[in-house]
Amino acid sequence: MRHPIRLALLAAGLAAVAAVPARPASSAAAAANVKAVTGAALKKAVDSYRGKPVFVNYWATWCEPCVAEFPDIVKLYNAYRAKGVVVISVSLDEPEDKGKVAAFVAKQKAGFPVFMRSGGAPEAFIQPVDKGWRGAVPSTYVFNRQGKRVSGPVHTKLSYEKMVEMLTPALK
Amino acid sequence: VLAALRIMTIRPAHRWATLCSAATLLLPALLAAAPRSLAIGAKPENFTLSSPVDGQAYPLLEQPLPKATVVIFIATQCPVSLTYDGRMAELGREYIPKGVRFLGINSNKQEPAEEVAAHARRVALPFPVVKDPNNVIADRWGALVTPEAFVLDAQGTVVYHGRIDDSQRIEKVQSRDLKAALNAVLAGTRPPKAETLAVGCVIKRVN
Repeated sequence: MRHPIRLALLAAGLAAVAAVPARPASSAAAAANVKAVTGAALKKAVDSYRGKPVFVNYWATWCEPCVAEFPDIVKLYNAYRAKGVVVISVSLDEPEDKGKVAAFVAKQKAGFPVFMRSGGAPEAFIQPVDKGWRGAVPSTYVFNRQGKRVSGPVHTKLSYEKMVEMLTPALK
Repeated sequence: VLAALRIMTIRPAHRWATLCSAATLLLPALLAAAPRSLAIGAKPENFTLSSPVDGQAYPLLEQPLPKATVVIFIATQCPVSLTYDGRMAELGREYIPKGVRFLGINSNKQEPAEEVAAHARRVALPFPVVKDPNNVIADRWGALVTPEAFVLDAQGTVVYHGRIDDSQRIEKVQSRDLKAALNAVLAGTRPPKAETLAVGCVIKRVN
């Protein structure tokens, strides 16, 4: 990545999102978990997760490998949330497609928050937290409790086992 | 499996550290980090690739060099790239008569030549689409997604890299960045934005 410091900040911030309690896996709760925000608000949310291992995934409903790996991210979250692991899911769908994103997230029974942009260009949304992001989805990173990126970005579909391998160094 | 069994025989106090070390060693194999893209101001080497549409070989640089050359990495399956098919065809129809050359490149490993040809014919792209076997050119240029555009000026220098415009939904487009770059090059000036962010599907590589 071209801006590791920004990523470290992202990671550090992301670590605090873990403080969000796990939600029930109902459709209504999952739909409510999709938050359309600005880049600044995303950064603020990310910063609120400081101190936790954080698994970050940029994705979109139009991205086949993203959709394919999403169930394993849900599985990962359910398996590791008791250990304080946070999953930050950031959809790069168009703002007008919030309903589509919400429906997908509900179907997946994702208990973690999903962010998407409320408007404007994608770079204005993502680059406040990751200047090095180059527009590709999926993009997956893991940050440790100190906010240091310990793995990623990975731009290919991950198996559950590979997700665990990526996450493991952050659990120290 | 053997490694896992061996780790389980390690004392618990050391097991975690061993697991972490093993994971750290495995990580490089997992990481498919983004390749570094051609910088603005770079002069890419010439190459020649074949078009599955007509079987002809097309070089990047043709002499005499055109006023501008547009290279777009495209796909036949990526929904984002497909959304831009009509816009790419329209740009070609508008700018080819003005002396701009377009070249579409398909580097996706899972999109065979026959599919590339069928797609190009169906969409009626007014420019050649070539197949990039083993994503050699995508690697050399650092192209990461589809659609992703580069513009070369009359000297073969990269003057623009990024998206076609700023929204997949044509009715929401506010910034036609590729068009603005071409207008600038044709006017003999620099593009208003030399680099923009192309959002799309990752190019599926052979490794």
